[in-house]
Amino acid sequence: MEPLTATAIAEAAARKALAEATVAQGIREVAAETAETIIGEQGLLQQLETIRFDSIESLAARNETALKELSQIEANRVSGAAREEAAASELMDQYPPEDGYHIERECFLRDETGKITVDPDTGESRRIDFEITKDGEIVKSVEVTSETADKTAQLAKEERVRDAGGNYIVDRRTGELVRFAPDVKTEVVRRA
Amino acid sequence: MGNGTTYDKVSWHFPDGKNCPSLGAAKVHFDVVMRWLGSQELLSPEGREAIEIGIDSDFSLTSYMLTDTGNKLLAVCYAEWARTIQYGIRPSVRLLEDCLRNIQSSNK
Repeated sequence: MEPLTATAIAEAAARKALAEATVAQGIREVAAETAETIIGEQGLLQQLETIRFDSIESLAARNETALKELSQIEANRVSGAAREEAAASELMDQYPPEDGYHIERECFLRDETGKITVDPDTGESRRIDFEITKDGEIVKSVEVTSETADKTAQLAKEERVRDAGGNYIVDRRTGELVRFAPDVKTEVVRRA
Repeated sequence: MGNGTTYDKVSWHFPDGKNCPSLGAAKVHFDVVMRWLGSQELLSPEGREAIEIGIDSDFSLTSYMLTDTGNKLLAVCYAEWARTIQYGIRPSVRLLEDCLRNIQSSNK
């Protein structure tokens, strides 16, 4: 084998540097595009920090973690919506409008003046998933949740709100207040 | 039943959801989107009333709380925006802004 000349060594070094720069530029572009598209400004800054100071392996690991979290937030939203739509469908079958029922969703509990009632302990309001009304009264109140979520605190809050006068909702069709019928309490329906 | 849509709800993330670390983390994106919707005058009277109460554990973002344009915007873009956000990090509203511009320009 012939000995390497200084020129050949310099050319090889230049080719290596160019190749590394090209790869680095590609990584920067892909990472920046991914971050901008998927994660937004804060994620973009994190990605750029990783590119500057860390390895491609750590970048990949961070992307994988971020993508898992990203899909989780949307997965939770989709699961929650699916649970509620399934419950809505069942309630519509059980309480049809032709029998005089009307279902309102996501109504604030209000006092007799129509003002939203807040829990004296937490300062929070109370909104219930489904209120079924008939003949000017709330005849059923339903909260839909997952199979495992603890609803103790939410139901305790509702009791305090009801005790503080929050026994009405607004019928959105008429704008009129509708009162809970005596002894109607919110039922928790659990779905997968 | 009213023909309302529930776009998102705090309880779907906490306590119902998976891998959401806290109630505080579940509320962040609601705070961001509600402030932005308010600033763009996309809230209905019910939406403005809800924002006065604040984002609490019972908060939900529904079609009743939005103007017609607000509903058009969220029907088209909310799911896409939700895919771009992470628990506990205040998200950018750039995607929503772009979407609103597209809707406004298509209305002209």
